[in-house]
Amino acid sequence: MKSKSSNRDMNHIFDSLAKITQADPKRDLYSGVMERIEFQNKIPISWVASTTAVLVLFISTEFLYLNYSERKIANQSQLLSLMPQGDNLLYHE
Amino acid sequence: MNLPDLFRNLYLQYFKLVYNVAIQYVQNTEDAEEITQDVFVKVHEKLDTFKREADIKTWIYRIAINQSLDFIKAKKSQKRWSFLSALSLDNNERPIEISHFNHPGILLEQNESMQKIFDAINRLPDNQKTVIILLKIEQNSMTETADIMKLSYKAVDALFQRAKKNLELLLTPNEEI
Repeated sequence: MKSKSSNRDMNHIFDSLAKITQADPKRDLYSGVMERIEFQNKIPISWVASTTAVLVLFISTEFLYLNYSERKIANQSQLLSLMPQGDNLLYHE
Repeated sequence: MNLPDLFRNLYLQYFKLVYNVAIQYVQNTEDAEEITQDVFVKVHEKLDTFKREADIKTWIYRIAINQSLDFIKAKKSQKRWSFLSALSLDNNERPIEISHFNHPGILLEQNESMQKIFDAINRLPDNQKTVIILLKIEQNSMTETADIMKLSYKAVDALFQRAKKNLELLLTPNEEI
């Protein structure tokens, strides 16, 4: 019984959803669409994407180079510390 | 027919459909107009790459559905951010809630009851919400809905049964999914 009545309720809900009428948007919507398209055409997405890609590439190269040179300096100083430190003082002085 | 003419014809043929699909998702004229504009910008972008694998109406329907769902997602995350920023603001500075129920296809005397139904529909998962909109509001057939949603007839039927059950639970007082 309960399921019959709930089915009736749902059918009533679906009936009211079916009665929703079609709405009309405002008339200047098309000009809004064209404005957006023109704006997009002025700054092509492909141009924005390629500029971003170049920038990212540049920054990552710079970062890698800095990382590499820091490591190089660190290695050099490690090597220096391994070398026997010569005493410049001569015994007869 | 050249591309601008084709686009204009498409717009004239489908702008009402797109606007009405959008309004079922957001129940607000301003948001629906914004979605409609976004949909046609996308249609314009992809028109030259459109392959006639799908019917053009089905293709536009899919763009409209995806754009509406994306719009809702973006709005939700925007709300989350404004809520967080509101916590750090004084009461006077709190941002005003902009989206309100404003569905032009509903009679004024039914506004309150329909708002309750839409509140429940909005709480359904995306694909269940879509199946209700396509079948019960837009009055598409089961086959058309299956085509738009890229699902089989059986899958749409199962999805609709689940959506109906969940909607029933949501509309019953003190019940959650």
